[in-house]
Amino acid sequence: MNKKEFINKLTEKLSNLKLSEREEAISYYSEMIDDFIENGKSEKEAVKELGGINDIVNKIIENQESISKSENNQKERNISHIILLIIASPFIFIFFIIIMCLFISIYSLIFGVYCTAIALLLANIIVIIDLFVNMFKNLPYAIFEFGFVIFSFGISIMLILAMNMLVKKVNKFLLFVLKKFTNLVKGGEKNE
Amino acid sequence: MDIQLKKGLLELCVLAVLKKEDSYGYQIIKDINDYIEISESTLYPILKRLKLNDNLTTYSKEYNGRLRKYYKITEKGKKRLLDCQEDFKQIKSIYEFILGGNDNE
Repeated sequence: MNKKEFINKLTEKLSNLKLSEREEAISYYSEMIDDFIENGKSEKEAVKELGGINDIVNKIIENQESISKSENNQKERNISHIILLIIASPFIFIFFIIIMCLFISIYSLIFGVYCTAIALLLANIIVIIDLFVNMFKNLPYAIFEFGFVIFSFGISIMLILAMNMLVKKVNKFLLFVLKKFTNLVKGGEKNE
Repeated sequence: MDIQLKKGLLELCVLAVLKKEDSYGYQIIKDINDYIEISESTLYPILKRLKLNDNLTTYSKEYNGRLRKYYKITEKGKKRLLDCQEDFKQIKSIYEFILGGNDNE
């Protein structure tokens, strides 16, 4: 087989490939033959050096398939993920609302405790006024009121501090959950 | 040698050749063949894959009245060769483990 015959055969066998792929392969092999000839081989010897034409064609096509397969896989995965997301969207939406409701109730509870603490503080002001009035009339009762003020003042400060801490923790947790949730919706991206 | 392993090694061999200077198909095969057997039909997909992964670029230059395709290593290709040094340490210890396991039996 001389160079021309070889190239013709190769062109024929690669006819399923894209034109650019085919031309690239042909120019590679034609250059290879030229180089063999320049290094002292005859045209026929040069073609022989390249090995069986079927082996050559198989390797080209095999490689082309594996390249386009990996490209297709990525596309398919993206499409199937989008379809899945659309089908699951009502469930995801409900799931999201449930999570948000949970957080709203936690925040409401915290708000309730804040109100209690502030109410207690306000009550203290009135008791303190009463204390001053009673100081001269009913000393034991005033002393009792004094104890009550210190006690409830401490309790309300403690409640406020505790709630501050709790709010920070819940905020962090809420951010964490939201992050997880967006990752879940975005899906596959991490796996790729 | 295992086919997959050989493919990976051949890619690195090609990069190693191109790191010295830009080269073309015939010359690459000549340079590598002393160390590991490679045929023209094996080299072709390897060059394509290296190009696809941006490990090399190509350009054509006239030679002896015809166009010859030259391959040039990219920064990414050079980096891959550097990473390979780290891999070698790991592979060496893995092979020592594999072969050591055979001795015990």
